[in-house]
Amino acid sequence: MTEPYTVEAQSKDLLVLNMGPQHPSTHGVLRLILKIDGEIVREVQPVIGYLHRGMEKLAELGRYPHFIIECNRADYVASYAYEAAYVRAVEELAGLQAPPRAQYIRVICLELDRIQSHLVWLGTFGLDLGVLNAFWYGFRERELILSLQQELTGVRMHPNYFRFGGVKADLPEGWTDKARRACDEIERKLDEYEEFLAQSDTFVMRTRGVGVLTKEMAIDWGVTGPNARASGVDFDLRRDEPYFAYEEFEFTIPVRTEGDCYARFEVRLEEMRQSVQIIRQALARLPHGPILQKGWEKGYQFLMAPTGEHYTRIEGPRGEVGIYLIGDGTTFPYRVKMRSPCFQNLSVLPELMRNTLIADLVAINGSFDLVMGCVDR
Amino acid sequence: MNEIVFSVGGALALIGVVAGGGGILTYVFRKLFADFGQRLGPNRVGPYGILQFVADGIKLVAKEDIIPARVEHWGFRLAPYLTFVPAVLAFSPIPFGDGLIITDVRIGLVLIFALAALAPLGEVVAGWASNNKYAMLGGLRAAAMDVSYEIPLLLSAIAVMLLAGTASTREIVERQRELWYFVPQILGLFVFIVAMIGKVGVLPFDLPEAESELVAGYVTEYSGMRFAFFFLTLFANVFFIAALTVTLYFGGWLGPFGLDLPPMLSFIWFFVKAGVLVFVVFWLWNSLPRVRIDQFLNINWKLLFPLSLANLILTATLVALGVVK
Repeated sequence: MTEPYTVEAQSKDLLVLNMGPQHPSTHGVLRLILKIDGEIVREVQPVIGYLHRGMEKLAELGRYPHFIIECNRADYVASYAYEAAYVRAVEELAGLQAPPRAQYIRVICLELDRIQSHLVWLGTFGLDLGVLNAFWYGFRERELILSLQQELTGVRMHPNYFRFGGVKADLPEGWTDKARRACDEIERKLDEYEEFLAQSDTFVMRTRGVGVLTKEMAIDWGVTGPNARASGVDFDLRRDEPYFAYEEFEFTIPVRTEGDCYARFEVRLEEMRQSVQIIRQALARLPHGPILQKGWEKGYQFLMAPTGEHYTRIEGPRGEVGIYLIGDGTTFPYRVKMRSPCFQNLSVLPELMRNTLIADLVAINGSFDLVMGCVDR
Repeated sequence: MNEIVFSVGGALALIGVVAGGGGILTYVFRKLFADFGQRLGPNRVGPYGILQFVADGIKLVAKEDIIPARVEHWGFRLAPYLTFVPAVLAFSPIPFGDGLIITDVRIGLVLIFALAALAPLGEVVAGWASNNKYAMLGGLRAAAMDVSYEIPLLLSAIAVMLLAGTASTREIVERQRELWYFVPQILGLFVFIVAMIGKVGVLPFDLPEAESELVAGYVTEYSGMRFAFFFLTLFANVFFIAALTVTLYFGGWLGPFGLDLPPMLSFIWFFVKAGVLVFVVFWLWNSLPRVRIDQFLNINWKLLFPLSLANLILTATLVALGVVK
């Protein structure tokens, strides 16, 4: 951290400032209790739980497929990630295998979802820094993806589209062309964002050197996803533990070593470009064939997973999304534990926010891309 | 008798122009903002939504007058007027056209800056009286910013005063008949505009009411008509930046290349130039992120202050040597 903030407070007279849960830039219902010394934040204490819906308990009350529609509401900005993790966990526990076409469609969905989630992040991060227009731009391109997803799944968010052993429906006619056009459009707009934000001195002034997360800290606190990759942790489950059909695609994992807000911005921007590449490859090489494992067209409702436990993780837009699943041989899951990337990422924030200015605190919070639904579950 | 009629008429006209102009500017701002963000903006009330600001005004007047419990009553009620009245009065020595000036005094420029310097007082009072920590932080930011931008602002204005040899706004414009002052004062113009944007408090320098940090800063607790006064002051001040910059640097009501209009119509040039500057301010507002408070103070003390001082010394030397004028 730069020197002006590390001056020790002369007095112990700190002002307690309650930021949130109703605050424009706490992204939902995060509550931060700040102890401030003028503009300098001396201590931060996050309070969570305002969006707790008891999801893990709800999972035990329904049969296996029922939790698909529940878990995608955990992280309501990137709905597909939890859905994919849960479906994959059940598939691996029950020994199902989705056909190649379904795997490809899943990859397309997940990557579209990653782009749209990062676009929401870009918009809200811009908002935190005072660039309201970034918000409109981000949501304009997100609309392209949401309409694609609507055509595919019937809804704009919370798709309920993945099934044990496949996906719900095949791609509609002409969908691949639309997806290709959307990819071109988004790639063009990403250059515009770079021009609009990265080449703006004020933006760089506000983000470079702010909220530096070191590699050691990132690993110690279990930070994952783009936040960790911006700190030099070269780890991405799509490449290191490929799932679905990720091993068949060529893409690079952007890594930065600075660990500041600007690095997190760069990593996410580059990730969107890479996602576009993955979608293009998947669309070009989309295999033909069934979209559900044979024999499961009707029977998934009463799926009976064997007794046993299993942990599965996938790379969500915010980091490692994990599902720990215990089956007891019935049609109900015995226990579902959701490993939330946002919860882990949030845990390091008090460390980063100590001895910063209030404005920096907002920038750091924005750059971490927290979704409170994902934290509280 | 005549004098009284003229004064009262002038004062009423001034309030009308500022309130109406501020209202229209909110509409222009929203339309421009929508265009920058590729949206539509207000388009329901009247043709092209042009009556939106009237509807907003009616809504704000009709709203319940809320004074939160345990606020400092006097300060809370007084603060909107403390910001609004000086902002309106500061327009009075500005020559809108040839002879279109409400108070033509010899110390016009001094009067303008004296009145404009009162504005942060209202913000600080509002911040303190609101009994809200966010509001207080906003008010303190306004105070901290005030001491840092006032100095470069005044130093660059003094350079113009030196060049013109007068503090009368009308005469400053008259002296620009040969050469608009933005040519010899290009450095001063830069300092002046940056400091002025800081003074008015629009993005990138809207720190006292930074909505993503301090909710709404010193206006957090205000609603209804009291809020409207703050809001109107903001937009009146945007026009004030443009008007003052045009007067000091862009030849006021004078036309470019000697294309002067007759005195009765000379205000057209003034408003055209001011309109362009307002657009520039809105443009910055819509494209720049907010700077941090320490960065703002650094910009003012470490960049603008030395620049304006150098500009003043340079101008003084050139005037003393008789190079300019």
